[in-house]
Amino acid sequence: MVAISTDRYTFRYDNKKTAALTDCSFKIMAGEIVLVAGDSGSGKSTLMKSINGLIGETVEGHLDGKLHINNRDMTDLPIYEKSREIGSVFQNPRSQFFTLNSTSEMVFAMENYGFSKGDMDDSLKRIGRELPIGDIMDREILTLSSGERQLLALASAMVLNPGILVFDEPSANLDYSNAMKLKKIILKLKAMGKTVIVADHRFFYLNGILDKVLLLEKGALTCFHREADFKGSDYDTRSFNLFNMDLPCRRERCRKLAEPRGSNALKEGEQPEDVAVLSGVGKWNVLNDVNLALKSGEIAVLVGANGAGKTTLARILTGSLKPDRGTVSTRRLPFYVMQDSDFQLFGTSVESELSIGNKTIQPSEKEKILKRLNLWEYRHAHPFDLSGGEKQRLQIAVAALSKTDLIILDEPTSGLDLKSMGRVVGEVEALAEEKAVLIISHDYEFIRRVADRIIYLKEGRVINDFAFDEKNIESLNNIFIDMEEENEQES
Amino acid sequence: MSKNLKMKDMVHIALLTAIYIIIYMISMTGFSFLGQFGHTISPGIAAFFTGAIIIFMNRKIGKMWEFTLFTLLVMGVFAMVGGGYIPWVITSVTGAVIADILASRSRETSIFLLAISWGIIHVGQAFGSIVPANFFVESFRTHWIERGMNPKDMDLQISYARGVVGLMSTVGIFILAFVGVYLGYLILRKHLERQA
Amino acid sequence: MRVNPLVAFLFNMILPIGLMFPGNHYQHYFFLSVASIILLITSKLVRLMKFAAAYGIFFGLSILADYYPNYGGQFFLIFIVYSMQFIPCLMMASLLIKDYSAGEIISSLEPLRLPKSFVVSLTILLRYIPTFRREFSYIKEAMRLRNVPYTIRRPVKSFEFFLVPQLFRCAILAEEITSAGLVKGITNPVRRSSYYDMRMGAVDYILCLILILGLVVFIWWR
Repeated sequence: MVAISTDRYTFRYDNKKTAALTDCSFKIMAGEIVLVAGDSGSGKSTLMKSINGLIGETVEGHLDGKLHINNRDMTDLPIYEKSREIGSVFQNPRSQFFTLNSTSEMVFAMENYGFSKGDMDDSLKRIGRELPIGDIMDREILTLSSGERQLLALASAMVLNPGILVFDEPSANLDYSNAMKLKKIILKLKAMGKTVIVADHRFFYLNGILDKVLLLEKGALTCFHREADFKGSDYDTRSFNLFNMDLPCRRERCRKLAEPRGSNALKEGEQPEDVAVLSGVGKWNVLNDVNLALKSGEIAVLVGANGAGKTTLARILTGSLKPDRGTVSTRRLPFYVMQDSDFQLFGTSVESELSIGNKTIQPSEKEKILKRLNLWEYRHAHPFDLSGGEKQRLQIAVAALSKTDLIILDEPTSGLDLKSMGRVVGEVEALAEEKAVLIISHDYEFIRRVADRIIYLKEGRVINDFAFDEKNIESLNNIFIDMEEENEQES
Repeated sequence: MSKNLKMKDMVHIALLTAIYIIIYMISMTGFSFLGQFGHTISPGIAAFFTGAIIIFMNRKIGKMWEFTLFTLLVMGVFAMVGGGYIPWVITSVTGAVIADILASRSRETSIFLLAISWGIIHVGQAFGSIVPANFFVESFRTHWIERGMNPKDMDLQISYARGVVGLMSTVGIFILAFVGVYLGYLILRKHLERQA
Repeated sequence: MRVNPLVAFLFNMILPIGLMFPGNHYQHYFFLSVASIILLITSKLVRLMKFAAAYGIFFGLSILADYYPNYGGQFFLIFIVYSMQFIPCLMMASLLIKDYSAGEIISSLEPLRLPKSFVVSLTILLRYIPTFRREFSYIKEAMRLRNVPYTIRRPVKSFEFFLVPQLFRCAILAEEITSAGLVKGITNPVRRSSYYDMRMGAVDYILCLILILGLVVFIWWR
């Protein structure tokens, strides 16, 4: 049975001349797992919004062509009709939930459709048979782990018993282990007879389970009827096989660094200085005994499962938290780029943002950095008008100009597509020319490209700390596998 | 663009209201020791610090009934924590409706008009507590006369008390709110100029 | 046992109306008694004792103020006695804040048949108050780290940095939240139901009746 089909679907936004989607025609059969791939600006999100009905509700534009769901012409139906057939799983934690309690959240949609209490209970029981929601019932959402929140978002999308589930860029907000968990969940959904459509830049967690791939390039759609066909296409699909990717690491690329350094290695000669030292640091029951020294010119990547204490450690370095035990010393106040840049942009323009907190900065310095980061044309724009990637670059510009010797970046590539991520690699390397850089990340591809050193935080301690090069990629891979297993055990 | 409030506008107003309420709660804690009379000043303090919100609301949404919805949401939250006095709801909503008629017909309402509207909205809120307070103060007249006070002195005292409260509540709050909008304009001006 | 939130709402609506018709001391004792009974039947004994203690303090102060009319006592007396009138309201407020979740309170409003868009907006508002409060502390931290501390010496700039990013975020969030809500049927014209069974029981109706009758009696008999 055909679950979704479109016939020459074309959409143009009101204020744009070229169409976002041109003549898209495809058929998705019931029970298929489909990837919608494409770079930023390719029309991916427009297509997803067309499928779940958000086009026409939140977006002004012109539509041509037809959309059929379960053989019904849904083109002109209002969104609340479409939503009975299509469940959308949003993953952005800041805006995905409506209530503060998990049960209230799950019943929210059913209340909107006027379900009786009996029907609501039946629906919850039905979901409970397929998904492990028992542990997350009637809890404060703030206390849920990220994996539990993912489960809640999915359960909430399933209460109306839709036949089709749509996931919009799940990997943007999930770490590696939760993304792999999602793979299992998607397979389960398929076993339940659901049709699953995932739009994403990164698709490693869908390796081996795809029935179809829809690739969008500048609004034009190409349909691959088999995963293998997609892999054989011109599109860069290396990231399906994460651990076997042929990515040159930083040390291979820059011969500047003399020898690999580990926490035990003490080489003579040119010794970069310590810019931050943590000694026996403990905090709450999150960090137990952390010993770490960060050095100038080095890009260290801090990895660890959710809740391992990575952000806590960063906040101790910046002085926002005082350690309960041990000592921390930093030469200067580090510069911390938070994951959500919206809290850190204070200026009225890109240019004026650079002067905030840095009054002595010269216009020529500002021009130089803005040009280097391709932001010069936006110098008069308001920071909040920038795209996600542009805001990220602005943050990096501010970091580059700050008079610090340690820059901490918290998930700098979350939500970015491969091209933008590649740019961030270059920008971080430029930062490391004069400063120490500590990156908190779960983005494997990014880590492979940018790290000099890997620091693995687990059970409150640094259990592995090694210089990263082509010889110990296996160690990095093992860390990821370890985190995945730990996540498995928790559920 | 539609002239009526759409769901997205209502969500936007709800979010701005959340910020307003947080600032209101902070300003209230400073004056809670005055009990119910603190309640006559705190709208003014809150209004002073949240003037930017009305400007933002008008510039980003600027549709009819935005202030009424805002006020109803504020009333809703206060009612849920036990502050749902009918006089308060009536006076507040009246203030909000007047403000909407004055200022919500365009997205480019002058700052002066927005300042007046913000003043009216908050005076409306304040009236809800002065109305019962006024009646109450009146009842003391009998009490003191029984105790032997001179009625003339008493009336002087009462009108003084009512005057103090009335003045603080009405004029004081209006001024605080009015100035608050200009403060808001001071901090928002450059931002709004740059933004699309 | 539990008392329906609507009873607490009604109580807090009625009491200020009663205040507009003063002249019978017993009115105040009536409200105080009803509030105390409600706390008793909902088993909030410790809380009742705390309120009793607070009341006692106010009472003591009022006696003091009455005794020294010439030292501004009479002025303070009015303040103190007026505030005492609202102690029963605070007792009801404590029930609403501590003993009900936001979802339950919203469910209890169902008989009022409020428009769905209003209920959804209120839900979102309640959801984001604690979230934004937390986020203000992130902004403070970000300001410190950017070397633009939150200082009394530059109050306007500090205030600008504190408030303006959050305002701009609201526009972005509104878009995301609306999308999330649309796919969950917030614009569905069907009447909204509620999961939590918050129907009024016999005790609730009796309490409401007592309150309304009490109000009428005390307005009339002064």
